[in-house]
Amino acid sequence: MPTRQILWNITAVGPILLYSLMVVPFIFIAFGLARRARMWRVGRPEDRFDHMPARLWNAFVMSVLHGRIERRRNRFGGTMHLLIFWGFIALFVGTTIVMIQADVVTPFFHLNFYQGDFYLGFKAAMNLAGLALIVGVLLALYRRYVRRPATQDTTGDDLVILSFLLVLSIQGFVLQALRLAVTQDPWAAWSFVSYPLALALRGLSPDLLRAIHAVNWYGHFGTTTVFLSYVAYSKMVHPFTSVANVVFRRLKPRGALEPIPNIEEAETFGLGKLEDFSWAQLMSVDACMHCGRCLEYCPTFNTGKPLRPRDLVLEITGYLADRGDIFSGELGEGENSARYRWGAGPDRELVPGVVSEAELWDCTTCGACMEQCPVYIEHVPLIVGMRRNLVLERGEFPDEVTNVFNNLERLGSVYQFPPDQRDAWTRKLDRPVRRMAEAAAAGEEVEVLFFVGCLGSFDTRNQRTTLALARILQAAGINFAILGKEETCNGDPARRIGNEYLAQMMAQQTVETLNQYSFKKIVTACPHCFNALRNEYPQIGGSYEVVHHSQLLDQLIAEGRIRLDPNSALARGKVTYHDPCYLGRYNGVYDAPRGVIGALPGVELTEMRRNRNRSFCCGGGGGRLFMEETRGTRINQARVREAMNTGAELLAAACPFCMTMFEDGIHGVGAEEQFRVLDIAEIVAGSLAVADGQAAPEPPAPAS
Amino acid sequence: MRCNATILSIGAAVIGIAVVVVSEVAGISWARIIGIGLISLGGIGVGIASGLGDERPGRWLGRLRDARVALGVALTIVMVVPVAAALVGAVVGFFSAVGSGLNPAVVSGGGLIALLMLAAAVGSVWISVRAIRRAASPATAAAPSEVPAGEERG
Repeated sequence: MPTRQILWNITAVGPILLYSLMVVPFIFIAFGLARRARMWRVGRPEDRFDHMPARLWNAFVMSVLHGRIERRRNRFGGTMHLLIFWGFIALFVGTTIVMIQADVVTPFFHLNFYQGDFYLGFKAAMNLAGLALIVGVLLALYRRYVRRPATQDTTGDDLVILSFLLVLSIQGFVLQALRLAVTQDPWAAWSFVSYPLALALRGLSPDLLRAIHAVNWYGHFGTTTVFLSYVAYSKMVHPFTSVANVVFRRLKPRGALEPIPNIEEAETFGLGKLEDFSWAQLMSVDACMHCGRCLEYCPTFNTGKPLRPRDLVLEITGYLADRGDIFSGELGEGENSARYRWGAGPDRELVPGVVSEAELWDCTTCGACMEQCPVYIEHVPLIVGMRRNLVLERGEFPDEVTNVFNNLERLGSVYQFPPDQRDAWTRKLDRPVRRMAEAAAAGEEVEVLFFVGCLGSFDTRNQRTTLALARILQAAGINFAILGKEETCNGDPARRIGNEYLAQMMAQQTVETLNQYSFKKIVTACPHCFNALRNEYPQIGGSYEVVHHSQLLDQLIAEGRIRLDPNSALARGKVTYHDPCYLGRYNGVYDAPRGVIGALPGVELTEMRRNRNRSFCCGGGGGRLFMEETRGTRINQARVREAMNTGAELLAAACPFCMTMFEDGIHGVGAEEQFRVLDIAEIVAGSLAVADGQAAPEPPAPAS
Repeated sequence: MRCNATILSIGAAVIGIAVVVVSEVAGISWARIIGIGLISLGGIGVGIASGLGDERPGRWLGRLRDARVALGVALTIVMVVPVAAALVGAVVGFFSAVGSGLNPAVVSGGGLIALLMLAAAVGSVWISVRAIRRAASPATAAAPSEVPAGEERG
């Protein structure tokens, strides 16, 4: 019957050494992990133990099934990791099965399941697993040495790990081949990789083969011992830390930043030192395995700015290692690796000693890094947390932001306009727009509260979007009203810039205003307002049904409440659509704007290379709209060029921040004559079919 | 408390090793898994107790860290030499195996696999030694990025 002798050709010294020396990797792994856990415990408490079944299931899907690792745009890297992961796991399980047979089933039950068909299938499966591991490692080396994606920084640690895996799997095959060359099992062909090797080895004498086998057996177990001892001090710790981070990831809406609780009495603000992080945040930076996915769609990395989300995380990881006396295996070789290597010293200030101010202020908070990260590291809350510390404890922020803060405090707007001009745009409409106060005074409930936002209220270009949306609402016969002079900034810019105190003040004021009135839902054309109202206001008692204007327009078109003119000059030709970060990535609204554009007869929607959750930021989020872009190339121009490369003549936007950035970008690349940007509300308003007796809607003006 | 845990863990590991030795020498095969369990628990216990402790890692770990380059290079060579020797043996043996009545296609396949694996094993030594030696350069003081990363990559 097909089987083999376990520990063939090995004397009693072999198992004694094998099992006795097992204590070494166990000590090293446990010490390394405990040392890390000790540093995580430096952080603040945070409850991440809710919904455990869902958390565990998600971790299974993401790790074992490679949910976020294997993606359409990452087939090569994803498949490579899948081969290594499954090859390694299968071999580990296989070794455990052999151990169970040898040390449990045989001595206790005197049975042998390691024979017959099971044995033959097992041998084939183990050969397949070993082959998968070798192929995966070779693909990884090819990727690092030949393909060399710009997002990948190769460190010594990466190469040492790959070498370990390669040598271990080769050793396994060679050991098997040496045994088969001597025993000449008739079923040896089931070991389809080792068998041909065994035939080649048959040219050597059996005694020599036995001697080589014995030496290689000790070599294999020695290599395994060293490898396992190294695991917790290298990036191979990620099967522990990354899975832990997936289990304990934040389950709240990604668009909702955590507020500083009880800010009036707080003694520290934001993240100024490791003790200010939560334990889960410290664990999350330790979970980074340097894959560089976060860089793929990062606007700052792709336009040559200092901020690289991966490196920012690794800088903190290196600092954590130094503070915790963790012998990190990050050997460092890549162009930036010196910055995040352990050994740079524990006596550093977080900013600027570990993370530079340039890195913090360049972030647009677009969330592309978080969307791509396979292990759910949340970079943006870390960056905003460090910004909070700079702004609130040190009073350090870019000069350009001073006016924004002053305007918000004095006028309730990011712009220097008095509140009584907030509804001045309504005078350009043929029909009046009701104020919520008027409706309330009349005792009427309003169907839709139109939250206009600062840019839609005061910025000349974005006022055109506001007017277009108001005309559509009027044309659809929707009972809507605005807050008018009572509206103030929702606090989003202040919050993303790091002025949490001001942000909470603005948000509280808005909630108090909104809670006075009766309405069914809020509509806004600004994804930043949309995100704040929808995801962050519930934190302070403001729970409302909030829709973005693209969702409302999509619904109105679907219900036939507005009709589009097939002869409209606007509704023709190729149009490309830009996904605003705070609408798409943060809130998952991708289809509604496309539904609106698709409903326009004669329009051909052509997608940019980077679209939907892989969209490329306009460069205006995170308060960047109000700051100078002094480093690298211009993000908005990069995106405009990408839009123009689709062959479209019109860029459809759905965000006033994006609109401002793109208008500037179109000027910047000198494409005013052949390319323009319009909000989807402008396109729809310009394409409205005119009912009998109604005036034609005002067409959008050309880009200025 | 932690001191007790360390002592208990060391004790468990030592007893576990003794049990394994006895099981092998006296042929008590059922005792081996007990020994393995004690060794595992002992090792994990020692690691956790010392890892969670406030004291800095012992001097031995510092020495290990200081000697990491020499250790790494030596271990790499020691680990790969036996397997490389076996693969050289397979390449040499291939020539005598050809014509010995074995399936020539499979034997040739074996020779090819041996050559490829030899190249991979030697290559991995080259890669590892280079990587480890590069790591010999001292860690620089932190200099967070202020320099732009480069032009737009698209």
